[in-house]
Amino acid sequence: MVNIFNYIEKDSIIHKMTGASKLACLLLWTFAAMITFNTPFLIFLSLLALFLFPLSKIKISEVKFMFILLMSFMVVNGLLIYLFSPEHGCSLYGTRHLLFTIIGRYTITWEQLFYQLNVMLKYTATVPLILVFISSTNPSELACSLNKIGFSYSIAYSFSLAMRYIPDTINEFMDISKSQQARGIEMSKKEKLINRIKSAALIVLPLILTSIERIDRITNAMELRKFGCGKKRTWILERKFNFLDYFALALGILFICYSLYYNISNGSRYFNPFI
Amino acid sequence: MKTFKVKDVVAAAILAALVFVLLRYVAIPTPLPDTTLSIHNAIIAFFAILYGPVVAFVGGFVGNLLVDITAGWGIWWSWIVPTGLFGLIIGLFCKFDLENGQFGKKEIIRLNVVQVLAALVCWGLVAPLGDILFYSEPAGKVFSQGLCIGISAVVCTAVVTTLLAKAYASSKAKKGSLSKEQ
Repeated sequence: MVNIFNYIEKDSIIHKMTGASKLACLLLWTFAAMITFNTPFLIFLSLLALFLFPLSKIKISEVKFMFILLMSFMVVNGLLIYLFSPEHGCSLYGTRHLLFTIIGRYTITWEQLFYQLNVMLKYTATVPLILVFISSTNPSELACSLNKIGFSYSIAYSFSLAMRYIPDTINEFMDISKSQQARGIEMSKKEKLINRIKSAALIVLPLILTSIERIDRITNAMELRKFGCGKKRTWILERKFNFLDYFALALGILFICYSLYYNISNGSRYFNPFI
Repeated sequence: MKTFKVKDVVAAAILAALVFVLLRYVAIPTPLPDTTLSIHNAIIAFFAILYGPVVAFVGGFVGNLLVDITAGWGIWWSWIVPTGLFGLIIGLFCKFDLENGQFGKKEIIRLNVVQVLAALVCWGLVAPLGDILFYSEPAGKVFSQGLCIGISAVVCTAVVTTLLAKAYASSKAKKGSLSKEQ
C-alpha cells in the first residue's frame, strides 16, 4: 500500500494516545489559532507545536518533504499578499510607520511586516501539529476517532473507505493515463487548452465507469454483511482514554477558550503593539 | 441523515478518493502562471447528478480535507467547504434521470446554468469571505484567487461533466424505448 499518510510507527507517548483525543485536540488547536491574531499566543503555540516533535520521537528529517512544501507555500502566499496590498497591515492596525519605499505604492511599513509575521505564525502554529498528528496516528484508527468525537459512523466509515481506496484509485489512474497516452493523447503545454480538457475527459471517463462499478460491488458486499443495521458499531482499533488523552482534550479546550476570551476582552482579534 | 444508505456511504468514499487523486496528481497546465486546471470539480458535479447532493458534499469535503492534511500547507477550511458546497448546490438543483438515459439539450443547459451560479457562490463569495474573516487576508488577493479557481471549475465542469453525463446517459436505455409487440 502506498503510504500517503506518512504514518511512522514509533514507541512514544504521543503514539500511545488515542486517535480521538489527538484529533479533537488538533481541531480545537487549529480553530484557536485560526480565529486570533494574538501574536504572543501564536508564538507560544508555534513553540509548543515544535516541542511535540521530540516528544513524539519523530525526526524533522522524516517529514522534511512536507516542511519544504510548507516553506514554499508560506513564501508564495506572503509574496501574493504583499503584491496585492502592500499596506494591508496599516489598514488593520490603524497606524502607519514607514520604513522606506521600494517603488510606487510598494512601501515597507512596520505594520505590514508585523501583519505578514502574524500570517506566517498562523502556519507555524498549526502545520507542525498536523505533521505530528498524521505521522503518529494509524489511519485505520482515524475512522474510529471520528465516530468517537461525535460523527455518525456512516460518515466515519466513509472516511476510512476513502483512505482505503486512494492507493487503488492512484494505480488505476496511472494505468488509464498511460494507456491513453500510448494511444496519442497529449496533455502537455503543446496542446491547446480546450483539447487538453477534452483529453482529460478521455482519461476520467474510464476512471469514473470503473469507479461506479466498484461502488456497486462494495455496496453489495457491505449490504451482504448487514452494514448500517445497528445504531452503533464497534471498531477493532478502539482504545480506552487514559490520563494523557484527557490532558490533551483539556489543553485544546483551554486554548480555544483563551483565544475567544482574548478576542472579546481585547475588543479586536489583533494584538496591536503600535498604539 | 436518515436517508444515508449504504450505497451513499460507498459513493461518498469513492468520490473522496477520486477527488484526492485528481487534486494531488492531475494538474493540467494553463496559460496563467501557477494555476492548474483541476478536474475534480467536474467529477463532483457528475456524482452530484448521479448520487445526489449529500454524497457530493461529503465526498468533496472529505477528499479536499485529506489533500490538505497530507499536503503540508495547513487545513484551509475556507477552501474545503466550497468544494463540498459546489456539489451540494448542483445536486439540489440538477436531478436528472441518468439511469434511464435522460440527458438532452434541456438538461445540458440547466446543468451549466446551475454550475455557473454554484461556482459564483462558492468561489466568488464563500471562499474569499472565509479567508477575509478568519485569516484577514487582503480582499484583492483572495478574490483574484477565487476568480481563477472559479473559472477553472466552470470550464472543466462545462466540458468534462457534460461529456461524462452524455456518455453515461447514452450507455443506458431510454425509458419507454422498448414497446411490447402486439
